[in-house]
Amino acid sequence: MHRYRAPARRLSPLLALAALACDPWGRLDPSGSTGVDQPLWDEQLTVVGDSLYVPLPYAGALLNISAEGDVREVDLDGARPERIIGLPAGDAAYVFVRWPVCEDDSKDIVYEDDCPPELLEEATEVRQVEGQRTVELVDIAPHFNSIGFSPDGRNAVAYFSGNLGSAEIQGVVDLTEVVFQPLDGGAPIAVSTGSTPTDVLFTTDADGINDRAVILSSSQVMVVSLSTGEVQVTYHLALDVDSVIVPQDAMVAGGGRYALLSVAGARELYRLDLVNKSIDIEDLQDSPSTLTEVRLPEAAGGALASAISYSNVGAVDLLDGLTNERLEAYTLDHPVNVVFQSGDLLIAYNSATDAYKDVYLIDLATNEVDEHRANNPLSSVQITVDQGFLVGLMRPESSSTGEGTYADGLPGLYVLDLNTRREANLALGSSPVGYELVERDGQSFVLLLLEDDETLYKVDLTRPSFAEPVELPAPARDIAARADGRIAISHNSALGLISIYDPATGDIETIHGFANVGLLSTPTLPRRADD
Amino acid sequence: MRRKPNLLLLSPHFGPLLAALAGIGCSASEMSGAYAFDSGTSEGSGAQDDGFGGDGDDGYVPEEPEAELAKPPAATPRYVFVANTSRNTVTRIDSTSLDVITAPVGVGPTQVLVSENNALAVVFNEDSDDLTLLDTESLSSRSVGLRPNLNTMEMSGDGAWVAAWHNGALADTSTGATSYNEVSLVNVASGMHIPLIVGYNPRAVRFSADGQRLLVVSDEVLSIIDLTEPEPEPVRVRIALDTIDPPLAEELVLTPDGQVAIIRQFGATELVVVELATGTVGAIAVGDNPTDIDVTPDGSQAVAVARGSNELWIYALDDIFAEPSVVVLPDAMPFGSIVMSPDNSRGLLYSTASGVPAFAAWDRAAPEGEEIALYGLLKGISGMSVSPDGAAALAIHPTSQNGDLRGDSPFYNRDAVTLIDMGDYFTNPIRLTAKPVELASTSDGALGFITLEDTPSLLQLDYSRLIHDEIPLSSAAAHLGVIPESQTVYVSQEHSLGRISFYTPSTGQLQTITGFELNAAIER
Repeated sequence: MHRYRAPARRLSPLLALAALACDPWGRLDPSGSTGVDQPLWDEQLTVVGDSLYVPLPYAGALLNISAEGDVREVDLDGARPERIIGLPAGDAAYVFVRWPVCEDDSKDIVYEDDCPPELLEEATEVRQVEGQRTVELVDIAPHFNSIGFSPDGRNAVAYFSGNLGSAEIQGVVDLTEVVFQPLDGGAPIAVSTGSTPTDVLFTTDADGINDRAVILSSSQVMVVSLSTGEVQVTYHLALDVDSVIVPQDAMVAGGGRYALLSVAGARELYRLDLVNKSIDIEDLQDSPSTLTEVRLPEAAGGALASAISYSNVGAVDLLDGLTNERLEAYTLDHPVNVVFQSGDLLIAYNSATDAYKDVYLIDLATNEVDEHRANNPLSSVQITVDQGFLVGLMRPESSSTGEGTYADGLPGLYVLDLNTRREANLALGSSPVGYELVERDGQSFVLLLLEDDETLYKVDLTRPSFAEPVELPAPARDIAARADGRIAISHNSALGLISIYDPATGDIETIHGFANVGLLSTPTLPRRADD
Repeated sequence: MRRKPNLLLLSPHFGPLLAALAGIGCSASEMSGAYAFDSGTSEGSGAQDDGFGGDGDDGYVPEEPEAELAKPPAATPRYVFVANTSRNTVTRIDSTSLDVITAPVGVGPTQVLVSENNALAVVFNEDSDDLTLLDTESLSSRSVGLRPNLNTMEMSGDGAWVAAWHNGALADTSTGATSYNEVSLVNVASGMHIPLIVGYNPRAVRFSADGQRLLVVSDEVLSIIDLTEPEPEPVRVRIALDTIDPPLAEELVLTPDGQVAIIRQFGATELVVVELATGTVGAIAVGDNPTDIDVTPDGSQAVAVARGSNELWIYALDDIFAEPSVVVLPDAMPFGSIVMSPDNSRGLLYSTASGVPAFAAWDRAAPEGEEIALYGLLKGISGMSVSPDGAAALAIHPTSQNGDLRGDSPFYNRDAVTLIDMGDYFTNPIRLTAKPVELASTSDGALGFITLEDTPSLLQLDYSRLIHDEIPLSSAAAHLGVIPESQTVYVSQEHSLGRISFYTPSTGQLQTITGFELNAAIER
């Protein structure tokens, strides 16, 4: 548990509920007076496994909505949730909570307002919850604002990423510490890196278990054994302490033999030999924009390779994962900043600028580069599970001239059939809220939500021009896929409204009104001695 | 060939002033396969101090050679050692796998030498005044303290001894009370340090081939140190009659048996000859103003160029006092330097001082009177070298020595080299983008390599075809060498974190390692 002195909190007036009661979906009237200073529930979906965790900011509570639709309040022992991070497996999550603590134990002090401000503090903790219950308390300090998990799902890793945000620090704190928490309940490993961590990578042993962590921080890299906690080696990226080398992107290459690092604004690629414990620096043709590990097709040898794209040069270089020898150099018309592998293809595009709309398909077996051009710049791209389609969201261009001017000013959906290479550019009536890719019975769909639209659009990727509308009970705010394949959709609704859409059957179930927890009551100070 | 009277003078009372020749400490160069431009120390001392100046009788100033760069890498058949001066480390690079390991040494390492048996790398740490002795395999090390303010190191051929001294030709960074009469002698095996007091401002330090003697030549004194003694001490032999203003000792040559030292002094008409066993000093005639003396490749003769009298004087080293042979050189061309072919059959004569754009080929097998042939070049010469197999030669041309070039010539005021076919002396001049700084050749004589000042490229010279190629590097080249018993060329380059490239001529492959200085900071 961590304690802080809390700022004074003012209670807000109660809601005018009559207007809300007349509206079965409880929509907030933006022009009316609600009187609450926080939303009743968080419309951003947190899906963990098959369940949803729904924070209630006003009530300071957390709800769990099970796969069956049961809504239960999660036991946080009176604390209010701040952050929720789903664990890799099952329905468990880490919940960062905080609660007010009054140093005066007097029984007269019941509510937070009863406590003199100078005696009011805030305490924090991290709870591992599953469903509605707390499984255990987790020893992670509240200032750790970067939480992740090892790829094998065995460890959580937490560190302070340098952006303080709402984190509070009291007393003496090592902000350079990285903590590895085994998810099976083992003792945590804490490593002090001496400088602000920027990323953590993992190597994998022959059994597929992440055996080492590679901690990247300012001007150095540490390799830590996840079994013993021993710092095996520390690489310093600069000779002069006044030189600050900040890793921009990093990857483990050669099956864990090397760590490759690019540095912000520099053409150099640092290659750390994790076995021989040496450093080599390679000058690249330009500052790298991405580093990606790829597996070559069997026809090309099947080995691991490193793909490097550049910020200002239209090229992707493929390097041998072990020797770093250049295997191929692909020339592109424009620079790209997103590169990922899908089957035997490298997909590359630029999401950072409106100037480039190209999508490149690089066939790793034939080394052919197939260039396609979306109508508008792409913000994000996904590949269907069967790797048959590429789907991307297009954003409106900031300025447009010439042919296709009207569509240039609209958001859009880009669909590329990776087998036939046929493409479709679809215009959207409003900004996309989100989308999910779904496969059912051998067919691939995009489920798309648009802003202020009470329709879920089901786009058949084999016939993208025909979008099947699915009526929703209210305009949607967020969309997320559950592990069971059903789609959760949150709506603009003051008292809470979530739809669960089953792509297989087309059925929609709604869960509503759950955000009234604690609406008419004032919470007492939790965890008092007389509780 | 005209014979001149033998002006031999043998006198224990020190004969007339003689020219002394400072030989080049070429052991490190030989191991690395690097051939410095013909030791300009031969024609006057680029390595001399301020006292060197004035004209010889021939009216030309002493010939200044190109100085070799400091910190040349040292190599064994497997490893290359690079001193990282600013990091106080030495990096060992496996030339096969390119694995890099860096070891900490003393402060300010400037020089690494590898023993003949490749077992030991000796590092001279200028700022901490000590040596680091590194096992080339295990990198285990030990340190041996030296006298302060020394800046150069020589190693005996067998690697048993190292001598550190203050070379006045290099920058003087001495601090505190300083004596310029000191040499530190170190027995590598025992680590024993023996401080020695020798003549003022040593010009050259040489170990005898058998490793039994160390010679240190100064302007006034030749110090002879018997290394077979349990506690070696210098025997100082005066070689200059004029003790107030002694002539500059420029070159030192030893006879193959290590028994006689020959010293060339600037502006003299005789060579000083010292019998090392007895310290007896004599003199032999050498024409007028000898500006260079070299030992022939087979070690049997010494050849001196008397620039003032346009003559070559050839001495038998097994009988230095025997009558020398004299070859007359053309009067019109003041040649002052010589470089011999590896098979001893030919020599190339040139001048770095007169600016004459020509060289003379000396064919030792030609009939008398026909030994010398003149050939013109585009520009004057700052150095020459012959390829290891003698099939080609290379002339270096500085920007300023334009010979008879017109101003619109593409070579006017430009650095250049000329490849010379030693068969017919056909030439191919090559204009360069910068001043050449180092030269190395493969041991088979097929290829030569040059680095250029502040230039990120390596110039490859095909000696047989007289063709050049340019290999781009990632940054400006610093030092160059050839891995012994291979054709692999290594080029260290300017980079704050260390950079070295390995070039394989047969494949054209260039492998570069950057950042090896970071390896010293890796915490294991």
